Amino acid sequence: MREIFFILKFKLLFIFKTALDSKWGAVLKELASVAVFTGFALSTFISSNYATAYLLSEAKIGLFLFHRILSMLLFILFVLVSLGNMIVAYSTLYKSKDIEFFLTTPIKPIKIYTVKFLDNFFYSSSTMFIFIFSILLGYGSYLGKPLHFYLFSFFGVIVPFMLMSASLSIIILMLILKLSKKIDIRRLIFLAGLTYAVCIYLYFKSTNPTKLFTEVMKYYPYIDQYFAQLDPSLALYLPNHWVAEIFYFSVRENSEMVLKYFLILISATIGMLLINFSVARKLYFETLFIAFDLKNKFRKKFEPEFLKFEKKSIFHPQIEVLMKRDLKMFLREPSQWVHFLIMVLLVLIFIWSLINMRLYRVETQLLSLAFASIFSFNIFLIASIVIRFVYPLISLEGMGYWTIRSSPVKLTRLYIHKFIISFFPILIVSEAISYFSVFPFGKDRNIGLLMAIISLFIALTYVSLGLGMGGYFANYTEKSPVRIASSRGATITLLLGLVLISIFMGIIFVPITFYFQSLKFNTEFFTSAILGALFTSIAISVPFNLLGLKSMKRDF
Amino acid sequence: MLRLENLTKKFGDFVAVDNLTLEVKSGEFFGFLGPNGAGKTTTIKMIAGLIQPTSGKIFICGIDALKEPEKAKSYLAYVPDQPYMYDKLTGREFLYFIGGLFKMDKIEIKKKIDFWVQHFEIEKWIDRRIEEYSQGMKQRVIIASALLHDPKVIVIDEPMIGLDPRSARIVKDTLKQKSKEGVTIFMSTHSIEVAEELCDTIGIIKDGKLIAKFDAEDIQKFKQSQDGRFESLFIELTKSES
Repeated sequence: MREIFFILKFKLLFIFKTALDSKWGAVLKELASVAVFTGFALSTFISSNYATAYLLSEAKIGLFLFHRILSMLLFILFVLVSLGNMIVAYSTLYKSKDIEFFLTTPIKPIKIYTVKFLDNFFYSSSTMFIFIFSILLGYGSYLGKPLHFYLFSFFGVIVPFMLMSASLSIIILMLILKLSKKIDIRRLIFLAGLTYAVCIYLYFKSTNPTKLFTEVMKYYPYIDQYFAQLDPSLALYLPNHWVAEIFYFSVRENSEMVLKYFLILISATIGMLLINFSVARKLYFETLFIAFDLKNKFRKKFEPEFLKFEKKSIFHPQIEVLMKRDLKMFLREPSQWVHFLIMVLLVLIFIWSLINMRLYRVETQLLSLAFASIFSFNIFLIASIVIRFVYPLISLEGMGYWTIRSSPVKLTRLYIHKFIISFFPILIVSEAISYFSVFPFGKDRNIGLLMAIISLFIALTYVSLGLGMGGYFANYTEKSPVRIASSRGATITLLLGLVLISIFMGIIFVPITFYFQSLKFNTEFFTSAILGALFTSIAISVPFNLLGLKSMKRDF
Repeated sequence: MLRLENLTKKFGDFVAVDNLTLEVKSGEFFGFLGPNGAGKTTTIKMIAGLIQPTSGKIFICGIDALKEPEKAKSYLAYVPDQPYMYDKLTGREFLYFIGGLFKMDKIEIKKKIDFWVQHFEIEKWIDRRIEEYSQGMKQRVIIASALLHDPKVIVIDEPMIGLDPRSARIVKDTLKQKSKEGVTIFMSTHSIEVAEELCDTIGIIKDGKLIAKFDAEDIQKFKQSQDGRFESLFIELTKSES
């Protein structure tokens, strides 16, 4: 135990020393991040408070239904934390630089694992904690909850809930690595992804939100009561259900039931942690070496002919080699193409659900709200892809950046290359989702056109933001794209991206609401929305691209 | 061929290179010596375009490297002290990559790669990924990449680090040969023996200032008067004043 605390002490010392750097530039960066985080927490608090008030007072869905929606959101959170942890864990537990050093010291592998597990959990979940705590504050303040409710909910409920999710994901990761000795790892990753997808499908199929809504509403106005009989049996065994029940019974001030579900949650978390550490005791040391060997396993694969440097090309020689280098490095780094495939899968799932959604039969006043939700999610998806793949682009030049800086390459050309390889794929994704987003509304051409144009500006804005911020916070010493994409700079970029969602939402909300209310195409409203988006896009793109370019010219 | 005029680099209050002026002629092998932290690597990084000078000018083959950096760099080759490369590429791919950056023709690149790969005895490794290379192997590939586009000026920082005696000999002979062919070589080193063996001129930098410059004749003379050892002279010149 002493060794674990000793390592943790130095890790914390390092974090504080970095945070308390007295240089002006560093202080300004700190202040800027504090401002962004505070703004983000505040807007989350307001949104959560507003959403709770709206659902309970305006839409009057009742306490039971409200907490079942909460349960579904918690299920999504559980899956997201689990996937996020698994992805970051591979870098933190297996690929980080200090692992090799720790292995040369007389520290037991399980202790290294403990340190890295905590490092990984807090590293990949830190922003999520701010987000969840702000939601809790918004929810609790509407319901007039006392201070101890927040402390109990956060430390006693949310942290164990997330710890359980993180533990589960790392157990799966270790098992995948262990099995990769006998089964091809790509098959295992595919199988794990498929299992996650099937679980999500089964969950939503069994909970059936529409049916639940209809069933509960039969009892209107007595909808605050406990409709346990409507819960599918599968849900009862899921941690998101226990957490939702704790909140539901807290509001109903039923301490006995709160205690019951709290004990279930804590026991399950402890159980999962015990399984996690016993699996780690058996497998971590062994899987470390499997992970070390993995990089040598996939040679000479994914190598299309056109990628060969020897092949002539129609492009300018500098652009040609930069493109080939970037593509080769992308295909040879498993964390890049695996995440890319996951993102593609998520986009396809989203598109599939859009195709199957039928909203044009819904009441007109709800249409604009539904449209706004889908539109926000579209942008959020684009923002996430940008953070994961565009933000790290400049940092990924790495310590080998000297090769470009000392050769006759115009850095503007290099920057434009990075912009182009980011912009066009993002534009395609953005246009594809915007195209299918119109499906739930009866494939309306007018909205389709508006969405297509706005999507262009969204792609431009987010790519510029990602590249600009990625350049400003460039860390050439970090080799892992995953760690770059989950660094503090990336988090700030994501938060700025979330602020931009509300701006774009504001721009389209008036013309869309007018359109759905009167079902009339108003050229003036649509033109003003396009001009608004164009202006926002230019106002963001120009300074951020200049920032990115300037950052690339910094002393190396 | 390489001229530095009043070159200065400040990092905040700290002056890393202080008003440095020197000229290295065509075919001259210049050794840049100095104690740790004297400003050698900063000077080299400014010439290579990795660091922007606070003031002063850099001319490469008569071209102002600060006004026309791309044109100036097309005549330059830089070999860093740490062989950082793109780990996921093979050595051959790295060489093609560098050739492309210098806008070389594919056939020309292939010819040059074949020649330098054989010259530096890296045939066995050249198609393996760089992440598998030792430091010496990386150093050999980097030096090969520097020579690929027939540079007129080579700026090289600590070239012998990580090289085994045989590789070091190949590198020394190659550089000497290039110098004879008229290529200007600006080499920073800690090794007095290497400087004595290879260089036509030696400059000593201390606290960012050029405190001494010797040509071959000077070096010979000092060697005789100072127990025949250039090392004593270097230690004397660079000793701390406190």
